[in-house]
Parts: sequence; C-alpha cells; structure tokens
Amino acid sequence: MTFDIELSQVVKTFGNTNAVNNVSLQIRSGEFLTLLGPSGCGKTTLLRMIAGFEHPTSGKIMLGGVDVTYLPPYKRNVHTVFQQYALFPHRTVAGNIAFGLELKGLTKTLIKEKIDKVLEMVQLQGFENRYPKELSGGQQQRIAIARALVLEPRVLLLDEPLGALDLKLRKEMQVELKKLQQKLGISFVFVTHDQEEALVMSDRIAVMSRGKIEQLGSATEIYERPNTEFVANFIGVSNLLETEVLNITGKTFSLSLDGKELTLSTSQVSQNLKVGSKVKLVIRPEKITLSTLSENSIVKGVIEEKVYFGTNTQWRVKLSDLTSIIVYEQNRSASNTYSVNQEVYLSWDEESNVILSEDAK
Amino acid sequence: MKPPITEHITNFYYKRVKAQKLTLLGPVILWLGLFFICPITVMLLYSFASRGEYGGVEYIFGLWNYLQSFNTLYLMIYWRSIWIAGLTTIVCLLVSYPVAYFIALKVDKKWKSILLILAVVPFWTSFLIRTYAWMMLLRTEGLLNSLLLKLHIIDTPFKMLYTDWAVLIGLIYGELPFMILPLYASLEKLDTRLLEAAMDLGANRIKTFLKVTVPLSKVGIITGIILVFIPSLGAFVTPDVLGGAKSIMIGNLIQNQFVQRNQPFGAALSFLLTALVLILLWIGLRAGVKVEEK
Amino acid sequence: MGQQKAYQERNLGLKAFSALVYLFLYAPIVILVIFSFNQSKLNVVWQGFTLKWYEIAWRDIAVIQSVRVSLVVALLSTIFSTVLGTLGALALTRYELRLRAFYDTLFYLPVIIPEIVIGFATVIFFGLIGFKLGISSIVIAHVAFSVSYVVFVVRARLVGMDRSLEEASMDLGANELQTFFRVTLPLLMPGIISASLLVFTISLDDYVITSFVAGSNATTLPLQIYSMVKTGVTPEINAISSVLLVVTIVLVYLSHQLQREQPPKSALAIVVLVTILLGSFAVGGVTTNNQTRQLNLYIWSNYASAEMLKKFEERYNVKVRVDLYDSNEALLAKLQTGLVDYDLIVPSDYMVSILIKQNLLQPIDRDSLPNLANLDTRFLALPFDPENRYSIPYTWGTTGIGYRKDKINGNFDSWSVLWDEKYKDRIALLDDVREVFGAALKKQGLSLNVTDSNQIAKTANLLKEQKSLVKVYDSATFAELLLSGDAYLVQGYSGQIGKAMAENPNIAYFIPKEGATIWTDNICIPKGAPNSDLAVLFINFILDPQISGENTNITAYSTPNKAAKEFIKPEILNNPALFPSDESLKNCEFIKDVGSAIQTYDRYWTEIKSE
Repeated sequence: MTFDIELSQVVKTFGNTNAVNNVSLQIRSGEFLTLLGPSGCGKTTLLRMIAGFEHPTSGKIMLGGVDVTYLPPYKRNVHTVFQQYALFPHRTVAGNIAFGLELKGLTKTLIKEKIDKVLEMVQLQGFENRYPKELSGGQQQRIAIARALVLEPRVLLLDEPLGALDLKLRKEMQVELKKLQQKLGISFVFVTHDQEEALVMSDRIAVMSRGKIEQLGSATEIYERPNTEFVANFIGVSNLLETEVLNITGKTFSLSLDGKELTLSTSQVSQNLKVGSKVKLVIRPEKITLSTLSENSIVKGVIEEKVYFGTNTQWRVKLSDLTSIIVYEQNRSASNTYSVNQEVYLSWDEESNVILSEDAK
Repeated sequence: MKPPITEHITNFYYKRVKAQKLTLLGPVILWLGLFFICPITVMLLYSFASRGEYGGVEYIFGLWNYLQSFNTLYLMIYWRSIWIAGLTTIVCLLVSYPVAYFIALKVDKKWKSILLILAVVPFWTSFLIRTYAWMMLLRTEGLLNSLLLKLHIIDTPFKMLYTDWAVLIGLIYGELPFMILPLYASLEKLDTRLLEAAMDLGANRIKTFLKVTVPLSKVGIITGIILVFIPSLGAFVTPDVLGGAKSIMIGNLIQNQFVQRNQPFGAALSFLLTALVLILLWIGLRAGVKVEEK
Repeated sequence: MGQQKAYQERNLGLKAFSALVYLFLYAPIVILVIFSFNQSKLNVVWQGFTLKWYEIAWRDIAVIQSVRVSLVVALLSTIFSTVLGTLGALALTRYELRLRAFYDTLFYLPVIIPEIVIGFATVIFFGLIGFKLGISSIVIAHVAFSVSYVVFVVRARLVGMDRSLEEASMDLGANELQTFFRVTLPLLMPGIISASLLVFTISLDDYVITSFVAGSNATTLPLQIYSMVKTGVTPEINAISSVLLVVTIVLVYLSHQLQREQPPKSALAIVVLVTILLGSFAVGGVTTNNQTRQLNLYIWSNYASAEMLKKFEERYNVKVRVDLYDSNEALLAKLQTGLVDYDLIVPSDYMVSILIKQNLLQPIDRDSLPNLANLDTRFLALPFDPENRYSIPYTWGTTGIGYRKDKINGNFDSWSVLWDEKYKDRIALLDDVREVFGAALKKQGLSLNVTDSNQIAKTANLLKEQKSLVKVYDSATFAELLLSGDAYLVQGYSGQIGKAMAENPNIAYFIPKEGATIWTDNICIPKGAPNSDLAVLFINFILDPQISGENTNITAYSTPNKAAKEFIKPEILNNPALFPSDESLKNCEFIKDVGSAIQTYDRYWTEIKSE
C-alpha cells in the first residue's frame, strides 16, 4: 500500500500547550480522510502542518515518501481550500485561478485552457472577469476549490470549507465534493467539526481530541464501535450506562444492569476485563426497541419525555436506578405511541453493545 | 531520537526565518540606531555636561542640569503645559468625535473619503502661514472682530489674540485632524448592527453610546489622545505667535535654552519632558486597560 | 411621525456641527488665499485685487529653488521611510520577536522627543562622524523621525489583513518574495499610500529639524518662509502657499482615485505624469552646472537682491547659490559642525565675536578690498572685531520705538513711554531677552551689557511691573502690529519699521535719548570656505558704491557704505528710521556676549514669561 502522507510522532507546541500531541497517521493514495473533532482539538494545526504553514516542534511529515517536515508550503505538491476561501480580492476569478499557473511559468494560452477546463468542472463558466466580492458564498467556495485543483495537487487539503455555507447548500456541496474526489482520484484531507459531514463524505475518519487521535477508522467503525467515551459521545448520540463486571466464565461475562444481570460474549470487547472492574455500556438510541411486553426485554423503565421529529420520535426512558436512556423509534405508523409515565420494556441485539472499560477514557 | 536529516532541515528552517526577520527589521533598526539613537545618546551625555562660558558644551559631568530643572519656576511651567495640552486634547476629542462619527456612520460611501481628505488638506500649507492666518482673524482690529462688530453682536472689540484662548484655539486647530483620523478609522469598522442590538436590548441612545460605541472605538480614542497630547505638550511656535509669548510652555523653555546656547540644560529639560510623556502615557494606558477590565 | 422627526433632527444636528468644524478648519485657509490677491504688501488690510504676488513668486528664483529642494527632500524621505517602515511593520506583525517591547519603544521615541532636540542631536552627531550637511543630511533626519509613522499606519493595516491570503499564495506555489509582491503589497497599498502621504506632508512642512541639518544648496521652503517672515510677511508667501495647496489637492484627489479597487486608467496616467513633472522640476533644480565655479552664500532673507547677484554672476562668470537662515544661533550650530561649505556668511555683531572666539572665521585679506574705503569709518573697528580682521559691516540698524502718530500724541523721547499706564495693551516688545532687558536697562541709564546679578534682578522687576501693559512679545510682526493699529508703541528694529513708515505716513520711529541697541550684520568668510578667493571678490564687489546703493534701494536696509548714498533713493535716504542723525546714535551700544550671566538673564526672563 502506498501512502500520500505519513505523519510520525508529530508534536506541535504553542507556548506551554501541546496543540498536536504525538500524532502518527498515514493517508492512503486516493482516499477521503476527515480530521474530525471539536474546536481546539488540533485538527486545523495538523492540517496546517501538512500544508506547510506551521512546522512541527518534533516529529516528521512525509509527502509521497519525501520528508517535507520543514519545507515551505510552496515546495509541497499539496494545495489548500481555506475556511474563508482566501480568494485574492485584488484579482478576478480568472486571476485567482491563474495565480499558481503563472508562477509555474505556463504560457498564456495554456493557462486560459486550464482555467476554462477547471471552471467547467466547478460549473462556473462565464465568471472569469468577476471579482470575488461579486460572487455568492457558494460560488466563492467553488472558485477556491478550482484554484487549488487547477494545479493538480497530489493531495487537496480542505479546512472546514463548508462552514460558511447555509445548510441546504452545504448538503449539496458535501455530495458534490465527494463526487469530485472520486472522479479525480486524488486524496482529500478534510477538516471539520461537523460529525454528520464527516460520516457522509469520508472513507476514513480520524477523531481528534486534545491534540491526539482518539480513533481512526471508517465511518461505520467509528459509529458502530467507538473506542472511547469521547468518540461515542462526539459521534451521534449514545447512551452510556455505568456498570460493573460481575463474573467472567470462559467465553462469556456478565454485567450488572439496573439490578439485573446481562450476559455477553467476550468477543465483544477488546480489553481485558476483571471481575469487579467498572465498565461502561454504550448503546445507540436507534438500536433499542420499545415494547409494552416484557418478552425478550433487557431492562424495564418508565416513559419520561417524548419529542416528535416527524420521521422518528425520541423517547426518554427512566430506569429504576434513575438513569435515563434515549430511544429513537422510526414512525412507521402513526399508532406506535406511548404516553408519559407508561411502563415500557427495552430490548436490543447483543451485537449492539459496546463495552468501554474505565481505562479507555 | 530524531533522524539527522530532520535536524539539518530544522536548522535550515530556523536560519531562514532568522534571515527573513533580519532583512525586514534590519534596515529600519539600523537607520534608527545610527541616525536617531546615536544622536540622542550624545544628547543624553550633553544633558549631564555644563555650559561653557561662551555657550557650547564643557565636558564636566554632573546632575546639576536636572537639579536645576526641579525649580518651582520650571515646575510651574511644566504644570501649565500639561494643563493646556490636556485641555487641547479634551476639546479635540469632544469636537472630533461627532465629526468622525458623522463621517464614519452617517455619510454616503463616496462622500466619506472626500470629507476625510478635506479634513487634512488645510495641513498641506505651511504651519507658520496657517498660524499667521489665525493672527489675522483674531486681532483686535482683525477680521473676526470686524465681522462681530458689523453684525452688532458686540459693541467693543474682543481681545482674543495674545491670550491663552488664542493659544488653545491654535493648538486645537493644529491637532484636530490627528484626532479625527484615528477616531474615524476605528468608528468606521464599527458594526452598526451592534448598536441596533444594544438598542434592541433596551439601552437608550446615551447608554448605547457610552456602553457600546465608546468602548468599541477605544483604540481610536487612545491613538488620538497620544497623537494630540504629545505635540501639544511640546509646542512652542503657537504660544509664541498666538499667545504673544506672554506665557510660555515647556517647548518655549527648551527652545530658549538652545537659542541662548545652554544646550546641556536644554537637553536635560528635553529628557525630562520625554520622561514625563512616557509616564503620562503609561498611566493613561493602564487606566485604559482598567476601564476595559470593567 | 414624531420619532422620525427626532431622528432627522439628531442627524441634522450632527451635520450642522460637522459643518461648523469644517468652517473652523478652512477659515484661516480662505483668509490665506484671499490675501494672496491683496494689493497691500502687508497681510493686514484689504486694498484691492492683484495678481502681482503670483508673478513675484514665480520670478523669485530663491523661492522656486526652495520649492524644488523641498520636493526633492520630501520625495526621497517618503520613498525611504515608506520602504523601511513597511518592512519593519511586516517584521513586527509577522514574526515572534524577543525584543518586541524594545522595538515598540524605539518606534515611539521619535514621536515623543521634541523636534528641537532631535535636530540639535542629529547635527552634533553628523559633526562627530563628519557627514557633510546638504540635501542628503535632511533626508536622513527626516526619514529617522518619520519612519515611525509609516510603521504605525502600515502595521494597523497589516493587523486587519486576512493572513490566509498570504498562506493561500504560498500554498499555490509562490515563495516569500513572490507572495510579498503579488499579494501582500497590493493588499497593503491603501495603508502604504496613506503612510506615504503622511510622511510627505510631515517632510514638506518640517522646519525645526530641517533648520539644524540643512547644508549648502539645501534651503527648503519652510526655511525660506521662516527666513522671509523675519523680515516681514508679504503676500508672496500666501501666493506660494495657495499654489502648493492647489497642487496638493489635485495630487491627493488623484491618489484617492488610485486607491479604488479598479482605478480609472486616466487617473493613473495623470498621477504618473504629475509625478514625472514634479520630479523633473525638482531634480532640474539640483543639477548644477559644473562648468562654472560657484559661490555659496549663507545669509538672511531679503539681504542680497537677485539683481545684485545676477550682476556679480555676469561680471565674474560664476554662479551664486543662496541659502537662508533665520537666527544667528542656527548659523552658529551649522558652522560648529564644520560640515558646511559656505563661502560667505552674515552674522550679527555679537555672533561675530563668538565665531572669532570659537575660531570659526578666517581672516579677510584687506589689501584685496580697495572698495573698503567707501565705508563710513564709524562702522569700522567696532568692539567685536577691533581690527576688522574677520568682518566687514554689511547692514546696520538700531532697536528703537515705532509709534502711531495718529493714535497717540506726545513728545516721545524716552524708553519710559513703554511703562506708561495710558498705553496699556497697546505696547509690543521684541521677544528677545537681551533686547527687552536692554530697553529696561537703558531706561535706568545702565549699559545693555550688565552682568551684575543685582542689577539684572532689579531690571527684571521693572519688566515684571510692565508686563500687564504689554500686549505681545514678538520679534517678527511688530511692524504689522503698528500698521494694523493693534499696537501704538512697539519696540522694533529700524529696518522693518522703516518699511512700515513707507507704507503708512502715520508711523514714526525714534531712538530713545537714553540710547538703544545699535547692531550691524557683517560679512565674514568661514574657516574652510572652498572658494575664499571668490568670496573676497564678492565682498569688494558689494562695497562698490553703485552696487551697494542699488541693493539698498531694493532691500531697504541701512548700509554703512558712505559713498553709496548718492545712488540711494531719497525716500529711503531721508527715512529717519533707516538713516538716523548722528546725535541720536550717541548713547547707542552694541549687544555683547555676557558669558555665563546669560543664565541669570534667562532665569528672570522665564520668570517674567511664566507669570
């Protein structure tokens, strides 16, 4: 397998704080990788180090097998789409796109050709002579992408490029960007704090927190099998139930849950468990089924609150030990409803359980 | 352990940043160091020397020039200068604020820059000539008095020229644009939506102005105060020409020392003035910070 | 309805207030321009429309030359300051600097330290390193004190600039230099343009620092104007100012056009054209003809008429360059540096003695001056140079009292009239410690040059008593005060009052019977003058009776040249201020350097002024 980008043990310190703390990451050729995390988690700093705007305090960055750790941005074959697009206000659309081509010393006719081609790709033919401030946000965004793509980078870096767009445009652009990436076959490194965006677009997602990568994996992996409490909470909604390991017998172990015992297969967990250790049981709300019947149920509770969302309904159920569990139910039929204070039974598949031991925090 | 190649590049990288800093900052620092700091250092030495019998400098060093400066006579002049410069600054601020506010927030875009330029244009003529023009206006037999007499607003001509008021008018006139420009610059950036938001939240007009507009234009206010106060404090032509040289300011005092070839004392007075300005600036800036913390 | 009205009224109020402020800003400018068309020689009363001052200014070679020098200085200073300051501002905003606080202070200092100190310090420093004074020394000093303004203005612009634009440029393959020229510089342009306008303004109007560091062939317009003011303000200066005003308004307007996003091509073309014109106009004045030799004159304004200089140039096939000073002290400071190559200077009496003591003059070969015999012997062998080894008197005068015959009556003959309560607020004195003390000393029958501190203290008390009667202490405009009628009694120099008498017959002049100051301005050759042979030639030339007489007819200063009298117009010759009777000069005295006693004088003078 070839890697476009390899980061090894990268550390970046600003003053006394480690913005990026010992990150190693390999980005495969042609993949759409997203750096996801809350603001201040170090994702943008990591991206800026790949682009060359910042240089690591220690560690190494390789681009296509070459060490570029301390190379300036203009010596790297990666290009960036900036958060606020950073279009040059003193140049026209054509001037912006031509910027990098002129520096390469291309002939005027060749530049013109390339501009036409890339404008066609982003569907903005005829805008050559406009100035950036005469364009809408979505148009500026496309020009920013065109300006970077026209240079045929090995990797395209995108720093929260959709953040400034309204919701509808944003959804459209997500799909469009993904299509574009697949068409071009080059790697995209995409920074966002929006988990939904990450799930929709990415081949792989690196979830970051406090300068570290919490988990790296495909959208499904990240969502279905979060490694840490942070990931479980940051991606989607999770019910985290504090429990304790009651006993371990060969291939199974059991947990205490609302005064009951829940037996699970040890293949469910990666960590070594000990009897008596505190663990957390993660269960996604949409995996839970509500029923008025106790058959096959795991726990019992009382409906506390109902929020109607149209396609689905969110229920909050209080267990006897007073912990609340969120449940999403699809509104397949209008009759499927419960009333507050009604007693309900909750059930879910065994494989939906995710166990996080305390040391995985 | 870092591989040696990286270390090599690291060094290269830091050397390059250093070279960039040197290219950018080097020339101006060299220029100021050679043609400003060196002369001022010589001057500082002079301030500890003594006056020769026939003027000039004798290289006998001591503190007497500074001790002499702390005479009540000179302290009074310092106090008077601070007072006049302070008054000039306050009036400039009060007069400029509405004008800057008007230009920045109430005027069409194309008129903005024209009005701004118009505020600066008078200062493209010789300072001395402008001051003489004020003399013509303020004379007892001058144009303003003739006008007021003709309009029967007054019966006997006012004595305006050669008073402290004339000095004040002259100083305000000379410094006004240095207040208007920075105020305009910071008010222009002001987001009018913030003002609307404040009013929306129930603040009345005066409260909005005091709690939102003024704090947001603080940088402009401070810059303006510095730009007006310092030159007013050191002024010497205006008190001479418009004040009739009857009540002198620090600038005149220093000027006189150079005219009478007592350069060491003049130098000492100048460095005290510089120290005074620095202290007042420091106090002012600290007060500004405190207001901000509130 | 009511709300809308209140809103409109508030805006109207703002508008009206702003209009008033603009009126305030323009009132003196309008006066300045109006009086450039005034018939009268003095900026006092309107006497009818004329364009003659524009014509005079246009023909005044010295003025045109000073405008050229000013433009060269301002342009060069602007270029250097802008480049250095912009680079510095970039470093300050773009890099982590360990000594940031130090740099900040460094950039604030030139703004805080009084200009006079910077000027004096700089000229001393140039003296120490042996840097010749001239246009380059002015530019160096101007850059040193104006570069800070560029740093401030450009830094403000940089702070507000989106950093990612430069990153984008680097990202797209531009290196630091390419990024700077393709992105940073175009984006910084508005800031750079306003900074350079500011520097240009400061440099063009600077007087204090320039007066210290200017050398030969480097009289700027402000130096010219201050020097002209010393000998009376004429509307010629208004005319020059008005023309400059119009030119600058056009330039500012055009540069404003250029700052737009897409500047009109025509504006760009005009700016380039105007800049080239100004530049060539300015540079045209600097290039001198190397074929002929050049005599460098450093002199008071209105002392050597253009006609006289032209005659000399033609007769001896040399070029005469004139630089102006406005105080003996400025002259001294210049000579002390030893960095100026003037061939001739015209210091006043007491300054001659100082220059001799400081060994700054070279002896004049009297054998080469046959015309010396034309001088009135009364003006030879004066106490400051008893053998006339170093100095030849050029002009002379007295410091007496000018008054308005039509406003006050009486037989005035004493200094005591200046202490008369009747004339409260109609009295003007010179703004000069020695002259004012001189009047009070003479009033008591004492010498002008008293060094006894008790006598000085007693005299100071007299002056303190008098202060409430005094309208103004002013050495420049006392003649105007008489003409306008603001003052009825002024202590003043005979030359200017003589001119006022020619303007208004109701003005009279007398030398008090107790005696007064008599002064001479003397032509001297500074040590190390490069063309001392030409200088001697020139001295003999101006001692020629006809040349001297014709010069006196133009400048209207008293000449000590006895033989010249037959060439002097009778109205000047019969002016009692300019050529007083021998009797009235009986008790007159020269001001001498009083050594350290000057500090005592100054203490009391400061006391009088600060009351």
